[in-house]
Amino acid sequence: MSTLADRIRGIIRAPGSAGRPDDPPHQIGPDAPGANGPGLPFPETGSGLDDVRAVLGGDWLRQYGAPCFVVETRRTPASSYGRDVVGALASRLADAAAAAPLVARMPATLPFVFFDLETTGLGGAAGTYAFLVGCGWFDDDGGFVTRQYLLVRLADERALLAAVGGELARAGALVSFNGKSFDMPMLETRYLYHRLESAAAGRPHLDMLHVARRFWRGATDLPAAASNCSLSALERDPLGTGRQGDVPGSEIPARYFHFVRTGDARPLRVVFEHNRLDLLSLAALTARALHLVRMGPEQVAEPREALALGWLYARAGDDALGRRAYQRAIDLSSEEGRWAAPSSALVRVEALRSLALMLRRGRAHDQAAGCWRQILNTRGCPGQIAREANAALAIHHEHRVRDLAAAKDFALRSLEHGTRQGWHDAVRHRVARLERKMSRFQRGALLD
Amino acid sequence: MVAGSRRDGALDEALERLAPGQVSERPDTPDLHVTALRRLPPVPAQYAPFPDGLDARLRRALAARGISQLYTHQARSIEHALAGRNVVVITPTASGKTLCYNAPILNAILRDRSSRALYLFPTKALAQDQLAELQAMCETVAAADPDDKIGVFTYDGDTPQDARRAIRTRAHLVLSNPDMLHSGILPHHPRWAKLFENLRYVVIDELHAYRGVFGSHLCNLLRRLRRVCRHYGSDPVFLCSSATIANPRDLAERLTESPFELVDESGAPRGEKFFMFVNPPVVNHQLGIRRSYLGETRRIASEFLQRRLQLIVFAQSRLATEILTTYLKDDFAGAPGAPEGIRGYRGGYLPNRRREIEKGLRDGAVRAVVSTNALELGIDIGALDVCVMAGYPGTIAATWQRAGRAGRRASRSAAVMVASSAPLDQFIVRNPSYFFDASPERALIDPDNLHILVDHIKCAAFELPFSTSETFGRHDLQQILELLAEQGLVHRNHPAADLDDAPAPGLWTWTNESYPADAVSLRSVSSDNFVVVDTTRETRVIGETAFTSGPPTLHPKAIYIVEGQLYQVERLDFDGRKAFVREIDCDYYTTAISYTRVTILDTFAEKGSGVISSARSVSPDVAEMAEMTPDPFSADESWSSHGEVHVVSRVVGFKKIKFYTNENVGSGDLDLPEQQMHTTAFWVTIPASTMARLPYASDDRRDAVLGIAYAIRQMAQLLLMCDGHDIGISVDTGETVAPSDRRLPELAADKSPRIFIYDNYPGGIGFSEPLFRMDHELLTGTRRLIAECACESGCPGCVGPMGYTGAMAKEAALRILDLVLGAVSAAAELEAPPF
Repeated sequence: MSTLADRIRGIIRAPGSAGRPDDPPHQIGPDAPGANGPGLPFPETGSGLDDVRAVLGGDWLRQYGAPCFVVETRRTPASSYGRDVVGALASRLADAAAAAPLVARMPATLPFVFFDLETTGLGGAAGTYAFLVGCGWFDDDGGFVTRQYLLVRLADERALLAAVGGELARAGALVSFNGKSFDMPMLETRYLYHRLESAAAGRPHLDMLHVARRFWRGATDLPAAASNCSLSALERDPLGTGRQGDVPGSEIPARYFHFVRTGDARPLRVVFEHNRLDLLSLAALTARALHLVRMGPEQVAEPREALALGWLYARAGDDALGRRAYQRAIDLSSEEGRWAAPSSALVRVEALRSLALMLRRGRAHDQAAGCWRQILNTRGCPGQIAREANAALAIHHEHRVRDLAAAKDFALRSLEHGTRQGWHDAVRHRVARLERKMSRFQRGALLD
Repeated sequence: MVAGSRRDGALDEALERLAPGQVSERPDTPDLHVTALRRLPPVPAQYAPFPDGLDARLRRALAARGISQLYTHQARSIEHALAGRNVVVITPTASGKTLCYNAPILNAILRDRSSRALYLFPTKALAQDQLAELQAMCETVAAADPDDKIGVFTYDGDTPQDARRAIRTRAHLVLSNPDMLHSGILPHHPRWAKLFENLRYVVIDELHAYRGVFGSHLCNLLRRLRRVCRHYGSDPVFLCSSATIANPRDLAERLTESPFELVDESGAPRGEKFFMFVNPPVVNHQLGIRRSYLGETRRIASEFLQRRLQLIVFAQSRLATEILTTYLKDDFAGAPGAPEGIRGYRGGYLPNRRREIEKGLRDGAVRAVVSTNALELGIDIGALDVCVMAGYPGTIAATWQRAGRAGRRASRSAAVMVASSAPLDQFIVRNPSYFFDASPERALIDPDNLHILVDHIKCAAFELPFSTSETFGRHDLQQILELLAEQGLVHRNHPAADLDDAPAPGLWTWTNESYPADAVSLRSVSSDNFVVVDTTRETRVIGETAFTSGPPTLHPKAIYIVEGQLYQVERLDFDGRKAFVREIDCDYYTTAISYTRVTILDTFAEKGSGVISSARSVSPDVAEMAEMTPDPFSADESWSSHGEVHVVSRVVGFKKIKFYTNENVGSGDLDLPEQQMHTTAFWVTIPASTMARLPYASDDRRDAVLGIAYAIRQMAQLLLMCDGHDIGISVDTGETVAPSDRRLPELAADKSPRIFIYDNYPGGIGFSEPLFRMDHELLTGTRRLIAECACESGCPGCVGPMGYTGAMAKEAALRILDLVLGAVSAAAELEAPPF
């Protein structure tokens, strides 16, 4: 006869039970790969609150009126980052700051505060916490300062949010990597939870993920662009740096839970380091991207960067600059020595397509048709874009040029690339209409 | 009224055809074809003025929609709601229940624009159905002043992702369902802060649907809802509506754990109604076989259809629905190309088709619809002339609800129930007063079932940390949290203060990456299940089945049916929880033969000899009465008990049953793993000494016990208002060796056989204690079911078909039941106070 406690244990461990623990918590820790702590076994120590300061190198501070545990570090201007030094990143960013509004799409000024969260899970549900809020900025001397707020006890969250609110409120612009989709909604949820005003709401926010993807990972509309655009991939290229012994993101929540349960902060050291590196790389990435924007289309040397600029201008509604950037991307990708490279062909096609769409929006139909034709003449053009070009040319010839035979020809050619039934039906419909029009026209001609 | 009198005449004619002779004051005739024909007199409307607190703008809007006065039940419900009292209103179909909650809610919003309300419907379809009506009402309100615009939105699994944000902030009224509240709203409550801060009312529509497992989950879900409301400083009033059940107020109070006002007298008018019970005639007396009830239903439906009466036919299964639809379409084929007047309706049809049928019923284009219980709940199809039920719906409450689909305010209507040969149907059709004069069933829940409770405690801890003084349900929350902490799911924070602030109170917080609501399904105890994979062409999943019903329905060679298409199971991957099936064309289906062994772990309460023997010396009356029975008290055993049990079940074989004729056309053996569970049970013990004194051979005694078990299951289902699957039955004959597939168990001479009725859910779902309380009713009913059956020596309608039990089973079963009843009622009298 089992006791109540045993029965409840059985229920908790049963297959299909909610939140069944799969991994015992002691599997993570200094022994786990990537940890930089001493290779000690993991004693289940009791209260480790005093250790937190020593282990993580932080202190309890009253920040913006709220008691918080904060780890503050500074990288000197002379410390190296990739091929650069931190001080050079600082001055490049300061020089290029005027380009920020184009990215934020609202007034955005210095100081920039870079921010990044570490959380206990994905998605902003009530039981997911932002346990580490990292903020970073360049100080007046060109050093990079990070201030990391740790949620030592889950019950202290309100104080942490108050302090973080103060930190973010002094920013001329917030800068994040995927923050618009993840970090900011996550924070907003926590503020709502505590029914606090969110200090970050409505502030200028540069989310560098999409910008970086455009600049350095190709255009997302192309199938080839299903490429890795993580911060660590960007560190290798274009930032030319990298990290060793980084903690896998999937391990981070378990490390924090271990700390919550035991007070042992050692597994968190790598998490803090990971967060600091993310902030610095984000700053470097932002400096580089804004620098390119600041230089303008005629100064960039890489076709993909010109294409990305075009996208940025178009997104900000500046079609004139956008056209120049797209044209620059087309010219650069058509240069001797680049023309043959498949990646250049993709950039060229994408730039032509973007330009064609922009011209059509501006009612410059003949120029747009020219772009579509160039797309069809580019070897290695992806099928779906060739289909789009043929369809656009069919419409153009039917309604503007009124060359029905050519329209029919383009419509039929668009079938070569489409496989979906709905597409086939639409094209057949168009061809049938064209044929009706053509026979009517012929009859009309005979009557004349 | 011309149409009305035309219909009245047609209805009279049809009834005269089916049951010739005088209609009024007709006595019940259990042995005839029509066993009962009752007339329910018309009831005039009772009106009441608008309660004082109702905003003038709302009154104007109601007037604009043709509502110038209220029925009494509406007025009383609205008064309670306006005064902030929880209320449950019992309403027949089409009596204007929605106004009972819409009026106070719209009133609250007009008074304070920030007010919010949450409507919970048991299904998505019902929420969609109410949406249109509520939107129309809100448009009327806003027509006078655009500032009074009220946002009404459904929020369910079909709501597009990009619309969700707008709904969270703009909706005054959110129409949703418990499943969505559970996994989509409560875990994300910060995003719904505006709703929860201002939540004034929570509507629970179709309250009676929340019984058993679903109800037990809902109770815990409401515990979570109220925690979240407290966090945001709101304390909503609950407004519930229910079909007629025996314990509406009790159910509402159990579900919400708050006091309730009950409004159970409807002021809505009702036209005259006739209710007829039909028992298809016996075609083989010896085997107790009756004419097909589906054929009978077809004949009866035709009588009404011929006379241009609009009709709904309820069938008990999807298959029966399709068969009856085919029959009636054949009989009443319209001109080619004419709109189809006969339609089928069931779950699995696409929403568009369903909406089209519902509209056709309202505007008269559809003359007859054949439906599963999908149309039993409050989908608006208007009022029809006639309802024919093919088979007893299983509960009194559901039968009245289905019958309520027919009934116009100003003309006559009829409801006909055609009994199948199932024991429950036969009992009801032969005992019409049980249906017409008895109270309907009680809806039972057990929210403190540990499996359900622990799952919801996890979800609740994810939503908001628990304080160290909080409670949640009947069990010790702090103990459960400590056990969850052992597994690292929650953590109690350190009590240390670090700066000069006061230490935070002790809090249990969720410390796991998982999202607990995802692993909890409100429609079952465990979310563990089997998936059914069709391998006929490309591999695809075509269905799923709860873990407990996996082996009996998905064993190798089982026939699995989806929307009329038959599949045969080729392989059951027990560990991988997958059944691989292939399409097949055959004329039979399969039923599993299970072997179940029940072991008693703990007896919570018992009645019987213990009480009586100790009482003998005290009360001469009882001693005397006890001696009148053939001394069942010599054995020191209880007759009726309930408690905790361990159930081990194994599917040992299967039978192939031919469609339509129900002939047994083959069988097979199976070797599948055992399934085990802890649950609660009610059991009847028949002392060995009593068994020994019966003047029957050992086999006959065994057959009698098996026969009682067969019949008692039906009665238990009837009394508990539950599905057949909710309870399990097992007979402990005292035999030590497990019987093989098709051999009946032997009866050990020196053992007292027991009949267990157990809750077929791990942890139990609250059926056993009520059965224990109702044991007398249960046993009397079982006796009546057997005694009143017309067969000679057992049939599917009483102790089971011939071949299942022997020729003496019926007689011996009755004898045993008399003895058991004598003991149980003696015990009951002893327990009752003398005056």
